[in-house]
Amino acid sequence: MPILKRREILAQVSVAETTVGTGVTLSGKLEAKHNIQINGTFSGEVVAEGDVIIGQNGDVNAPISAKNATIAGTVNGDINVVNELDILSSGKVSGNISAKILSIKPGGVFSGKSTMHAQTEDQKIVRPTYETE
Amino acid sequence: MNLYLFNPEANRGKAKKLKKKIICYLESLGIMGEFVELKKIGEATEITKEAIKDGMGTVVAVGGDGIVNEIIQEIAETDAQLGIIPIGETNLLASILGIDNWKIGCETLAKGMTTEIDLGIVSDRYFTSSVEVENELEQEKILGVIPFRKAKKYYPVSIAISSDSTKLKMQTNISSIMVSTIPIPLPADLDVFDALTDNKIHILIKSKPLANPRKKKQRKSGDELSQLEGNVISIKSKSSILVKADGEACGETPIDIGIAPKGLKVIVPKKEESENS
Repeated sequence: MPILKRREILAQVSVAETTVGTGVTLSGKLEAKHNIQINGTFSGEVVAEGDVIIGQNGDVNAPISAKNATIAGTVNGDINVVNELDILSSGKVSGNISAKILSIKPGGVFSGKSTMHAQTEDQKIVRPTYETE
Repeated sequence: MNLYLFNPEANRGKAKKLKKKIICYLESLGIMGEFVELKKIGEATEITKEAIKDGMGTVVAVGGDGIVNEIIQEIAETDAQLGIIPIGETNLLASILGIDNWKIGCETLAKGMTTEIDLGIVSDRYFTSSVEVENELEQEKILGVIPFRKAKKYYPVSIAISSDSTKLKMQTNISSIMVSTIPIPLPADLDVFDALTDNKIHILIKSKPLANPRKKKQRKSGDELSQLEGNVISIKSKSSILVKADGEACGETPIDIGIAPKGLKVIVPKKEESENS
């Protein structure tokens, strides 16, 4: 690969973490010690020691375990996070969730049961407005 | 004693001018050994094979990535070690290891230390930095053989990636795949030697974005990138795609790429020296 082309590719990559691009259909167990971002279609299981981000075009049929999770796409499966789960206005989650902090932005959809972990005093925050189906 | 394999054609022949300077500098450092000027492609592999049989401890690539690639085919997974004096057009491995020019290369041989790094394996060949699976037409496009408009082509491929704990199957239309022994790009907080010994191959896939059914008007977007990692990657495609290891053609898909953990002993600058330079 010519050096210029290689540099061009490298310039487009933000950080060296696991990323599934929009044009990709992936199945299996995706496990990483760092962050995972899914913008494509995924089925199986997602386990991350870092954060998980489901992009606007992301379509995930899998349970997710992570430190924090941000959902801008669609997730069908249970989500278990240690700290915070953010469902953004374009996000749709169908499944049970377990988190310390849950935040659902206006327009975000959540269908399922939620379990909140116990929080220490300094971790308690004011929850934003949210809508559920 | 060191065996130096000098490629006079490195960096489009500019290497010839450096020959005397390098020999003088090696003599001044007291590490001059057998100095062989290579005459044809593949000769470095043959000479290295014989040298290792004769018990040679260090084989030094005096050239670019091409000559390094030839030498590692025989030196990998043996007790012999590789030295690098980078004078090629591309010196990727040397640059990763902190050997930024030929003088540092010579000094590293005199005062450096030996470390063991992971090597990639593709089609029974070893590679140090990267394997590229890409559209042959891209090359023709660059050479101006076919018009740019017609050159853009994507290949439907299926990819299987496995590691100790994960197994993944992937389908996508790719324009290129780069498989490397270090993460691309290297995270700022990661030590390069940790990355070179993590027993993982890092995969960067450039693919065609899918149309978003939610958006009526779609802006033409560029290729999408996916980054994954594992120990073994298998790539299958309906039509065959050219595969290059360290810039040299080494076959076509279907192809399996694996890793030889700590498969190469290489002389690198001592840590404090590379940090100070």
